[in-house]
Amino acid sequence: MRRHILCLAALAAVAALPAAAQTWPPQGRPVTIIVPYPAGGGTDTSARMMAAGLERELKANFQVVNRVGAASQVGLSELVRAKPDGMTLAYMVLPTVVTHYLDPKRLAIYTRANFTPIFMHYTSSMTLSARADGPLKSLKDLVEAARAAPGKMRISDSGLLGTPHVEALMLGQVAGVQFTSVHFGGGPPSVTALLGGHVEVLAGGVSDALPHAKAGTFRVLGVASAEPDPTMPEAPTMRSQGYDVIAASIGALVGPAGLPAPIVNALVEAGRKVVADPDHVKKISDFGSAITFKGPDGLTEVWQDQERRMKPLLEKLEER
Amino acid sequence: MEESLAGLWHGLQIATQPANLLWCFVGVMVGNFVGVLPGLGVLSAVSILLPLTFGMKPVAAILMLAGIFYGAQYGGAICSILLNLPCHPPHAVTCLDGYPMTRQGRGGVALGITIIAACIGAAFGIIEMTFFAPIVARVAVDFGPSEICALMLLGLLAGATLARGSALKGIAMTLFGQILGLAGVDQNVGVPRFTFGIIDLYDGVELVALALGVFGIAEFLKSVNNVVSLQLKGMRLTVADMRPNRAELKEAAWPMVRGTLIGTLCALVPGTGPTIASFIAYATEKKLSKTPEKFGTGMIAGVASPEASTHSSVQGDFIPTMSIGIPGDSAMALLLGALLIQGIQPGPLLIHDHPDIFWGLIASFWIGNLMLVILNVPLIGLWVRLLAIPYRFLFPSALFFVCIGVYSARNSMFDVGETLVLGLFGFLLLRLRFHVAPILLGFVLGPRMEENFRNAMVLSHGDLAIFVQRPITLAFVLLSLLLILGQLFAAWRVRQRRHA
Repeated sequence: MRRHILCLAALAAVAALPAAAQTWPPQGRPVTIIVPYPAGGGTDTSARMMAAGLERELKANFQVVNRVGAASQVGLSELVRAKPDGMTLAYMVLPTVVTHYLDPKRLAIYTRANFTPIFMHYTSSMTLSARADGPLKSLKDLVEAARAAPGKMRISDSGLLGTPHVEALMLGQVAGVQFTSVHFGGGPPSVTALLGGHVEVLAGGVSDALPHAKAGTFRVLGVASAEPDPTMPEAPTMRSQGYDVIAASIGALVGPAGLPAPIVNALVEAGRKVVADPDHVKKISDFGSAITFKGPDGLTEVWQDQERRMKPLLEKLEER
Repeated sequence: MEESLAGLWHGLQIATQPANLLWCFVGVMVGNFVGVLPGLGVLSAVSILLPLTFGMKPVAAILMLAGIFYGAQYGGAICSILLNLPCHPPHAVTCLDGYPMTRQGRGGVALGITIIAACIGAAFGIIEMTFFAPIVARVAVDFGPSEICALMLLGLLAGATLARGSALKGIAMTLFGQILGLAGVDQNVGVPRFTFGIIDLYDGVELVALALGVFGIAEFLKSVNNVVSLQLKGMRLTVADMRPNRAELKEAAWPMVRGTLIGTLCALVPGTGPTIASFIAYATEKKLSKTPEKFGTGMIAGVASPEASTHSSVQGDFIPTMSIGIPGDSAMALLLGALLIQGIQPGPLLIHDHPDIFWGLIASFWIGNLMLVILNVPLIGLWVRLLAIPYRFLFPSALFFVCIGVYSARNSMFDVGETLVLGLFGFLLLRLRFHVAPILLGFVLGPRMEENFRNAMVLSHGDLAIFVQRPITLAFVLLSLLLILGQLFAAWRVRQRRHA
């Protein structure tokens, strides 16, 4: 008898799968979006604005839950353990997630294969800044100084293998010089380190450098994106100064592996409409990010590219 | 000076607008209750209310969120004093003398003292922000890793006297706290330490879990078997009962002033915050006291000084946040996030570009603190009456709130389990006659010392001279040396006297 019921239940579950996809999003039950970062930060706010937009477009409930810890590894581990029924989704940040599984010390329970990419939402470019009253006027000055005295140039960042650190590593690799990276526990103390003159250079997001650049205390040496950042158009890109460094935090919506295609498509369609709203674009840019919407294929491409870029950096870091 | 007064006047006009007054009141009210509930921190309260501010005007939003922040400090001491339950880490040290006072039937007096200490501490913090914000902000950035490391060393040495009884046990507990603080992914090379492969431990042990576990839960477990009958003399408590008498006020006066100064100074050091300030204040009081052996048995100074330091440090914490856009802790970072959501860029230009927000906030501090005092004086009687609830009801319900509070911080069941395990462990320590306060001291100061020591070494390319070349660092190092020498000298004198 018991076995029969189990069989029936299994059958029902199999039969329900495509049906669930058709009736997704369900009425009444909220879809959970795990944000693996604290409330009030850039990722959280962007995710909340997207959730509000998705509610509007899909006429369903989306609930943001902050599951903070281990540089997003806690929240993402919870996501990959969830059922791929479209009821649990998450925001992730590239390249951070790549560093989780490329670093065996972190014992991550996932790789790219454990996720279903849905869409890429926004990109926050990284910058390098120096004190405006200091001797460093351009990226070239920094590289020359580092070449003259290897390791003498100190760059503060928000933490080991955070995107700002990755940016400094990339510049070091491209220019063939060695910097000394100083890791602080978060963005704010790394900014303080440059304000107080404890380091020569700050690696940080656009929003870290912007207020102090406006106040005239920092000079932005370079922006690590293909185009100048709209919030600081006068700051030159690194590429324009001859150093091909592209480093940015990319926020994207993902689900657990095996998320049915109809659900993915519905989310992509709705997301595309949300980012078309000028108010949404403005709010995102207030946090130093720009909308760079891409569907699942585009996201996968960017993701693979990040893996290719990160691997040699991590290997080199491991050698030291 | 004139400019500041003009600004303050301008701010008062903004803060007294009916809508702003109302939001300020909502903020401090919510904060006050959040402070009373065990474990439910400012951070989770602010994050819960953050979406509410999306539709509000910027000034109102920031007044309300800030109100939660300092309002919580008023409630924070209540459970520490009455139940030995540090609802709020900055008030953990208040348990040490506040709870013994309750057991002597002087809980009302202790609460009265905390309110006076709060007034003085907060007033100093606000004055500091009104007149010296630009100077403070300039000095604050001078504190680099070497300065912070030296300051933490000084704090640890001063705090080594925190334990009562066996000095060896005290040192053992401080070291244990430091080791506990090492848990998590190391900042410099990314090696997970003491994590046992559990990713929930990658960010280390939660301070709230530790404080509630080793103080609150451990104490509960200890008293479950021998329910103490609290001497509640005069159950009909009136305002007069909680008014400290003249002798008590005199006893509390200097500690309050010293606590305020320590809190004001700690606000200078980036990321030092009220928890560290309160520990340093307590340790200083004990060091300066003529009767250090009486600390931990219900000394008024042990309540007044840390409480004053917490409040002045909390107000002072707004200085770097608002004047240079550098948040001292995660709750402050959330406040900056709220500004960004309103389309306002925090940073060094904030005072200039948005005087409404800066001065409106300062003016609201005065108003909010006044509201809190008026709110709390009559409430003390109510809180003290909590103790009349039979232990068999009070204990489980407090435990229930602890679980909810701890869970809400990170939406994590793991943290709830962590609190309970630490509570059991703390109980074991209590039975073995260890004092748990030094654990917290080591836990709070130790890891910050290590991180900053290593960063100082990276900055100086491995040269220890960084600790003597920088004037502020050198001053702290010399003070630490003085402290050690003083201790040795005292020990030597005692020995000489015994021989003579």
